[in-house]
Order: sequence, then structure tokens, then C-alpha cells
Amino acid sequence: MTATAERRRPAPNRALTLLVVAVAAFAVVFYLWPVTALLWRGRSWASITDVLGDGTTWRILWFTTWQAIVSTVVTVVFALPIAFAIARRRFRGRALLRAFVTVPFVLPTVVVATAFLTLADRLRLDEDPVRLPGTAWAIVLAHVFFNVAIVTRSVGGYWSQLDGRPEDAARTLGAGPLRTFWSITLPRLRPALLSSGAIVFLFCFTSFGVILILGGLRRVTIETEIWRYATQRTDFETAATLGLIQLAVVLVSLVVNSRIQERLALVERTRATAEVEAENAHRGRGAVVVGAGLALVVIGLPMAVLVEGSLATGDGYGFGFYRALGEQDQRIPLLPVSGWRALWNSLSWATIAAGIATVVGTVAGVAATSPRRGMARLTDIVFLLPLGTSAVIVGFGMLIALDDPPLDFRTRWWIVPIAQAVIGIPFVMRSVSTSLRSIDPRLREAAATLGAAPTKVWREIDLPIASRAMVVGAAFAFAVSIGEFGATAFLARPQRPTVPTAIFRLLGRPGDLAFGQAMALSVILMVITASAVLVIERFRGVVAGEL
Amino acid sequence: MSSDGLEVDSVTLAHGPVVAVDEASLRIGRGRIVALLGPSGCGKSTLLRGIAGLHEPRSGRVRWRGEDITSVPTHRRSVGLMFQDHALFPHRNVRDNVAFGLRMAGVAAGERVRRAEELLDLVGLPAMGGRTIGTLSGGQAQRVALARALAPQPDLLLLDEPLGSLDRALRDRLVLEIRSIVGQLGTTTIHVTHDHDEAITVADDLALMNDGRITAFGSVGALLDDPGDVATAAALRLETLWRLPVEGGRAQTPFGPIDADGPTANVLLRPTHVQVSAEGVEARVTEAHFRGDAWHLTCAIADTTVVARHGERIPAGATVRLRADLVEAALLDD
Repeated sequence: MTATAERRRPAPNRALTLLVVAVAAFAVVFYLWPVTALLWRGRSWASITDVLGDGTTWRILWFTTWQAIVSTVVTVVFALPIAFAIARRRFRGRALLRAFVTVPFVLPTVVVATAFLTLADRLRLDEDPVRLPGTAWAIVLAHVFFNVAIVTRSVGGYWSQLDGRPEDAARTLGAGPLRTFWSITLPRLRPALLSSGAIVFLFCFTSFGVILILGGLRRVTIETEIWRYATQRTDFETAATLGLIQLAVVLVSLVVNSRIQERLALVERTRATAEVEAENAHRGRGAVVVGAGLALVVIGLPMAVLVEGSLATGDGYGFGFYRALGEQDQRIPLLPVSGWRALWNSLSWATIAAGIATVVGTVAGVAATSPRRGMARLTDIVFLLPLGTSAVIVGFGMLIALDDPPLDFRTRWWIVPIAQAVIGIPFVMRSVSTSLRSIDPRLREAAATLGAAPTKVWREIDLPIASRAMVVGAAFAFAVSIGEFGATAFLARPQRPTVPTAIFRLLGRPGDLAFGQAMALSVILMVITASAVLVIERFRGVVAGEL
Repeated sequence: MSSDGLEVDSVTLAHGPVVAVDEASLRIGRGRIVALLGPSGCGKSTLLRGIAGLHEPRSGRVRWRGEDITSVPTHRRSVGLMFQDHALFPHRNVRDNVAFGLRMAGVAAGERVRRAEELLDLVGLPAMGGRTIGTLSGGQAQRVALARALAPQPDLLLLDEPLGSLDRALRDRLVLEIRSIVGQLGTTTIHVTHDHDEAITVADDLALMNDGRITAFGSVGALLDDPGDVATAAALRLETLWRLPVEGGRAQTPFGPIDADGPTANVLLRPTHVQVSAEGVEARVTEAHFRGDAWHLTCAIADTTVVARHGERIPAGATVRLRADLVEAALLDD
């Protein structure tokens, strides 16, 4: 617009443009090109009719969809009481409960799957009459555990600002507490329920590690089929066609979801969280107990059982499985390298990946909030796409597209952290752009009236506020990278496994020692990712509305 | 002709095609406190942003002590702006908020801390420097915002509805405090408000604004005694205003005739000049309002209304006798 608009939203323009170009090149080489090249392979009409003409495809598509729907519904049902407990009342230990609920979200899928295998093992649910592993219920339970955090955080955040007076009015008009919840509160929560439900559906629809490990041979989805065709049958064309079908379903469900959300958009009076809490100080004590108890069982039990299992060595408790990680079994090596070596690979690659994701994601976040509308919108779309693309497609795409000169990177070790960074970037970008958008423009004006020149305004206001969001984004990216399985499974070479690929290998080996080591590695990974949550919670305050 | 203070010369400010301020002119002497009074949406905040350099005028000039500052960017203007909801920096504590302007001016760290503490004392918040912004109450945040705006000793202090979000009792107290603090420092100040009481209490001079235009400008005393026209009297909520027919060069008020010309006359007789007394015109009290230190009695004399000032409450329905100082009545233009 005018000179005034630029003064209001100052950014070091030329440097920013250069950075955006560099970041765009990164996106093209490591995301857009591999994914497009992969999907392009599956475009042939013959392949599409072949795949769609096969009844198996439709059975798989049906199972993929219904397990995602059931997982989403059950997740929402479990998450509501927990969201209530966290959102509406202040009580001792609430911050802890909130952090606790967030942990599963950053837990690697292989760790979640291992935890549920352990649960089945320890509670004798893996033999007749109840065989949990290999059933749809094992998958649904793991998905609920995994995704409760998304619904709890998003609905809880919305709920904590919702004016309680319509409920009061309903009560004075003669509605009981349950009736009030059903006919007033639930409809008001619908926008938050739908948007977080859509994310959960998407995650469950493209879920990989959980289904591969818990579904066994019988329960397969499109995602695991893509992996099977690509790695076991080396039928790349069918795998790519399945990728196209998956993409089509994801796009359709995104469009449907945004339509529904537009139609249901409500104008709600929001209020300061503190006020709402004060009003609710006297009520809902029972719901807090229910919510907290539910959180302990749904989230705490699998984690506790995993830790217990990793310490139960057969002859009492001890660190036998952990010690075994360092010993190479010479006769039949369970892993090509020691577990500690895999841990070192994971830590260093995740650190590099988080670094790349933080730099690229921050530049993208700044560009996405730039006053240049076109650039902002394009950046927003390009860098949020990886969130909706399955990790298997990203990894598989890199595998086949970065194979020829000049882009012959497939065998380089750094392709693994780059793939992990691609998946972590949306988290950093969302965190940074949300915090930049939430800055009151008058803060910049206030700084200007106090004598700060435009670049100084940027350094004094935008940067310090966004830097906290960068820390949150970096912690998310680190946790996502270290637990990444779908893409890493394609790109990490067998001699250089990461912890998740090592766990997957161990789970495929017979014997207590292999399973014990898988549990030990899972516990280590759980501790590392849970520490990332502590960083996230510590810096969350100023960052409004992250995932 | 140059001025020793701020001169706003036919400034027009627009949001896209919408003109918010239309050829506004003001001349404000150094050290004066001016209230810019008008209804919401009349363009007063936009004018303030124009003076601060946050909004570029479509036409017109802004001068400070005769020097044209129209194209000087905000950060070189030496203005202190206090926002309606304070706009305190949430990522810095109270002391760093107050010291921000000093840091921008390159003042050494030790001196900055000393001056910030001094200002916090001045606004009545001693020893609060270490507090975080989120822990402040509305009144405290308002004082910190004032201290922050004053710290770099700006030539010009701009207050944009600084008390807008506070409750009545706190407003009344803070209005007086702002006046005394700014008065002590002798800073030229423009105080934007839509509240006529606040404007009258805080200011030396009043500028009235309506629909993007400055409609009246003068010292508080002069405008209260003789607002000049009916619209200004209405903006200042002045009572009692009669529109009376003129016959033979005289308009007939309930308290007797006064000289006037034209077919009708607008006569303003303020409550201060109407007293309850043992003798006088009989009137019936219809309403009684408390106004600070006295009661304003709305009374009916036949079918005319008059407001009188009285030390005690007289209930509605009672009959009183009223006496007026007709020499104090002012004749207003339409």
C-alpha cells in the first residue's frame, strides 16, 4: 500500500527476499519435486483402472476410512472430559496434567505401537480368548492414545475462553447439567471439535507405524500398502497409484471439512481465561476427577506398562535389556550396529533436522505473515502441505526422485535429516507465523513513537516475541524428527538405523531379548520426546493456538 | 505566522477512499494541555496518529515550533503516544518498558534504570520495576504506559483515550493525576477523549471534533462561559439551553426578558447561575442528579425546563422557588 503500511510492518526486505528464494528452492528440491515425481509414476490409466478394478483396493480403502472415523470419534469422546478438566477450572497439578496429556502427541509411532504390544503382553491380551495385537481395536486404542492431546489442547484452549453465561441461562430455564451440556455446550464447542477432529482423522487416515506394527498382516491400510508395494514387491507404479488415491481422499476430506466449518462458524463472545476460571471455581469438581482419572488410565497406563515391561527381565526387575543394547550378539546379530549407535544416529540426525526445520520454518513463518499477500499465501500453502502428505510418500518420493544427477542424493547420509526436516517444518512455521500474527500492531507503533527505527522495531518487538515461538517449534521439530518412521524407513540405510527403525527391526525378530531391547529403546525415546514437551510447555505462554 | 508549539495546518487523513479527518487545523501553544473531544468515530484518534506520524496525511502540514515535520518518520519526532489499551510490551518487565525510549535514545544503562525508577515514582508505582506486564491491574498498566510515554521527555505527549477501559472511580482519580503529572513536567499534551467531564477536567484548551472536522477550539473557561453555538454547547452537555421567540428585541425567559435579535434566540443559562431561594419563580422539581459536589435539579416552570444547582437533595415532585442571574446568560448561534 503506502509508505505508512511499510512503516507499520517493517521487515528487512531485500534480505528477506533472498532468504525466501533460498527456502523456496529447498521446498522445490526436497518436497515438491520428489512428491510430484512419485505421483507422476502412478498416473497411467491402465494402472489406475487396474488398482481400482481390484476388490482388495476397495476393502483396504474401506478399512482405512472406518478405522480413521472410529479412532476420531473415540478420541473425541475420551478427550472431552480431559479438555474440561484442563480448561474450565484451576486446580493443583493442572500444568502437570496438561504437559502429561501432550506427551503422547510427540511420542514416536513405533514407541506407541511397542507400548501397546507390551500392554497386550503384560496383561495377557495376546493369547486366546482375547487377542489384541492384529485387531482393529489395537489400532483404534493406539490412535486414541496418540491423538487425545490434539483434541484436548485445541478444544480446551477454545473452551477456556468461552463465556459460561449461556449455560447459566439454560440452567435457570430448567435444564439439568447433562441436558445443558448436550444442548448448549456441545454445539458451542462444535467449531473446535470439528477442526481438531479433522486433523485427527487425517493423522489416522495416513497413520503408518501404528498400523504396520499393530495391524499385523491382516489389518492393512493404503499407507502400509504403499510401503509394501514399494519395498517388498518393488512395484513402484502400483505404489504410486495408491499414493494418488490416498491424496485424492485427503483432498476431498479437507474440502468437505472446510465447507462444514464455514457453515457452522459461530460468533462467540470470548472472555479472559482467568474470569472463566473464577466463575467455575465452585463447579465441575467431579468432572475434573473424571477427566484427570481418564487421562491417567488412557495415557498413563500404556506408558507405565512399557516402562515396567522394559525392566522385567524374566528373573525379577533389572536393566538387563538396556545393557543388552550395548552388547552385540555375535551369533545372530539382532541389529547391524549396537542400540547405542542407533541412538547416536537418531540424536545427531534429529538435531540437524530440527536446526534445518527451525531456519527454514522461521523464514517461511515470516514470509507467510508478510504484507505482500501473494507471497504470504503461497508460502502458507507450500509449507503446510507436508502436514497433509503422508510421511511414506515423502520418503518414497525422495528415494526415487533424488536418484539421478544432478539430484543424486539418495545415498548421502544427510538425506535422512533433510526428510525429517521437511516433516518438521510445518510445526515451526505454524508456531512462528501464529505468534507474529498475534503481535498487536500497536506494539510496533508504540516502539516507533519511543524512537525505534523500522529495523530496530523488528529486532525489539517481532524477533523477541517470535523467538519463543521458534523454541517451541524447534522442540516440536526435534521430537517429530527423532521419532520419524515413515520417511526414515525408506531412506535410512540398514547399516545406519535410527532408533525407530531399530525398534521396528527388533519387533520383527523372535525372542524375549529382541522384544526387551525394543521396549528399552522405546522407553529411551519416550524420555527424550517427553523432555521436548517440557521445553514446549515452558515456552508456550506467548504462543497462541499452536496445534 | 509561526507558532511556538504544534501547528496542524489543514491536515486531511484518509483510510483508502474514506476521509477520516477533513482539513483539520489546530494551533497548540507549548506546555498547554489540550483535550480533543468528540463522539466515537469522529476521526480524533486518526488525527492523533497523523500528528504522531503513524498515518500519512493526504494533504496539509504538521509543524513543530515552526519546523515542518510532516515527512519526518515517527521515530524521529519526539512524540510520546499512550494507547487506549496501553500496548505495553508483553515480553519486557515494567522497568524495561519504561526505559525502552531511553534505550532507543542511547542513554547509558545505569542512567536508564535511575530515570525509569524516577518515573515509576512519579506515576505512583515505586518498586514495581521488576513486575511482568501480565500481572498488572488496569490502573497500574495505565500508569506504566504513561511513564513509558514520558520517559524520553517527548516534546509532545499524545494520549489516545488513555482511560477508556477503566471504571468510573479510577478514571476520575487518574484524570486528576495525569493533569498534575503533565502539568509538573510542562509537556505539551493532546488528550483524546469522548467524555466531556474528562476533557473539561484535564485540559487547558478544548478542541471539539465532529465528523472529521474541528468544530470549536478555545480555552476551557471561555468555551464553558460562551460556547458560541448550539452544537458546541450540546457537545459539552451544557444546560439549560432554550430556544425562545424574540418579540420587540426581547426574548422572554422564565426569569424575565433579555435583549436579543432575530426571529428566535438560543439562550444558555448554566445551573451555577440558577439558585433555590426563599423568593423567586415557583417551579416543580422533576429530577435530581448528583454532580460531583452538588445536586443538579431539573425543574419545570409551566412548560419550560430549567436546571438549578443546589447543595442538598430536593426530591422529585417538590415545589421550590428559583432565582437566576440573567446577566450571565449567553446567546448562542444556531
